[in-house]
Amino acid sequence: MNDLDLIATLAPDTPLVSANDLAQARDRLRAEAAGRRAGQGTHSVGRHVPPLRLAVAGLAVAATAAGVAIALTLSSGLPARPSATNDSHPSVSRGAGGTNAGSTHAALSARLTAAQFLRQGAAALRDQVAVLPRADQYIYAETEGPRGSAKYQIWQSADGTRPGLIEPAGGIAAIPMPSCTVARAESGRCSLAAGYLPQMPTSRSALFAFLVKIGDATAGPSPKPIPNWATNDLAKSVASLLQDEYLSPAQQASLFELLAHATGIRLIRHAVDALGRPGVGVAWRYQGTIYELVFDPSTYAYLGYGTVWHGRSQPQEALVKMQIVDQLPHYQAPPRPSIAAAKCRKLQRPKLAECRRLIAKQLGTAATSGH
Amino acid sequence: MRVQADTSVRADDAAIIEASRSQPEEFAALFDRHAPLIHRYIARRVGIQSADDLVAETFLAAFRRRLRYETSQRDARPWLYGIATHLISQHRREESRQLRIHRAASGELAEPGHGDRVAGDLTASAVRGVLAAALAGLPDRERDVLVLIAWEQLSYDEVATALHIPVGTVRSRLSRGRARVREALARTELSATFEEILRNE
Repeated sequence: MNDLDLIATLAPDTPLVSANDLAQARDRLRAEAAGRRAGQGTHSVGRHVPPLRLAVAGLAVAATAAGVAIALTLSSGLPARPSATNDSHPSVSRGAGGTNAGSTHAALSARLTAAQFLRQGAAALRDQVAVLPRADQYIYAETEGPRGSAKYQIWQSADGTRPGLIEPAGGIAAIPMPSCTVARAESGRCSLAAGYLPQMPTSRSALFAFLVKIGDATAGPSPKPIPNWATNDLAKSVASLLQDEYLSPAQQASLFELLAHATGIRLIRHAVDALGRPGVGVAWRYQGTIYELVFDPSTYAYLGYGTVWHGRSQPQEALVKMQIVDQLPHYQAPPRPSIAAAKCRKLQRPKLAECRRLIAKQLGTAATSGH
Repeated sequence: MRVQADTSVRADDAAIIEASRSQPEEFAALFDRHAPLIHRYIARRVGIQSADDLVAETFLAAFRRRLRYETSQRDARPWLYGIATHLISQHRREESRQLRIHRAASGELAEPGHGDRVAGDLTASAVRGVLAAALAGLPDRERDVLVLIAWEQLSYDEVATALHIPVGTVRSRLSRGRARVREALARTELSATFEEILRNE
């Protein structure tokens, strides 16, 4: 048994349901099919089915990106100043990365293409002063889903030499994240856990080779005859880095330039992120779904991602906050049920129930203890 | 745990979808073939309460996309798992709750037995509790990959197809997710038990 097998044992013991149990779901499908057959339109049955928000690869919860810091830099005209304090519980500002979208949308040329928007952003970013973390600092990032759901916080060692910390959504206890430097990751000893990658190239051609090397992009022709496969592959790689790593302005600019060369991208002028912040979407269609990355139209800060349904943004996740901090928040290690388990061995049967309660209580504490 | 795929049947998925393009009702055959599996997957992740609705939405979404289905992919399961996974992403709170429930349940035993065995069970159970917590704490993208592989027994290629990501990304996410889970365990005193389980079972 390996660790994957052990994880497999966590699968709740859920039986396969019978056709009878699925009758209602099947009826909904058959009614839809019958409606389609009768030419009754595309949404002829049942309650409204929300559009799929197909997850953009690498765009899920954990996120560290330079978007907000860069936004602040551009908004103020001055370099953003990273926090030099132990800001372990930074206050959430929904305006983080503050957008000027309302006033800027009107200024967007009616003929501006997605590629032009990205190139403009790249040019603006390359003019910015880089604010970079020291190796001994941490990158703190916070993301949130629509309507305040799924708030997620992560602290990553800038160079990966020290453990980080993840505070998941849903009241789950904070979890330490193992350290792993680039060198150790390249030797295959661990998975990279650095919040900043100074070796990431800032030229378009070198960057693509880098993405291939780290497994985030695929070189060569599409392995499958699917329209927009290469664009989808590249755009999701770019998006993944925008959310996963603290990027210098030049690094972000090179990602923009790379994405600007993708075929099939288009501009969504009135996009919105999961916090409701207005922005501009860079969108592409893949296998029936239109994905979009949302950017601040004036600062080019990455705001979040989602899909587009009937011309409207269906935001999935927003980058709320990202900053450089000096220390991790205080973390309280989980209790040690194994000690109680060892004590149980010495107990007589009447005491076993008490022992079980003790361990269950400890585990329950683990389930709710924060840091 | 693994549901053995009947390749002779699975090979017909693309044909069913193709037929449904002109005869929509044909799509029901795809439902009959795969709905129980997709239902179980959804139920495992977000709980049985939401599973009925989500399995219906999965197949409705699939039906509406049938014209765009790439019929060179004869097996539609990865496509369906992908749609279901993305619907699950709208239900992360339910998923978190499900994992917390599972973790809490890991601290309980059905019947008391001999002291040593009970203690051993408790420790193994505690290991699973920590694993459940670690799984809950993974970034969604890593948990999606880990669960599709460990629970649903999809291959790397199938996961790549389901999530629309390169195979290399599947590998890196799996590797990172496993490392995080192991690390979470190593930080408890249960790591020896974990090693013992890996060695003996």
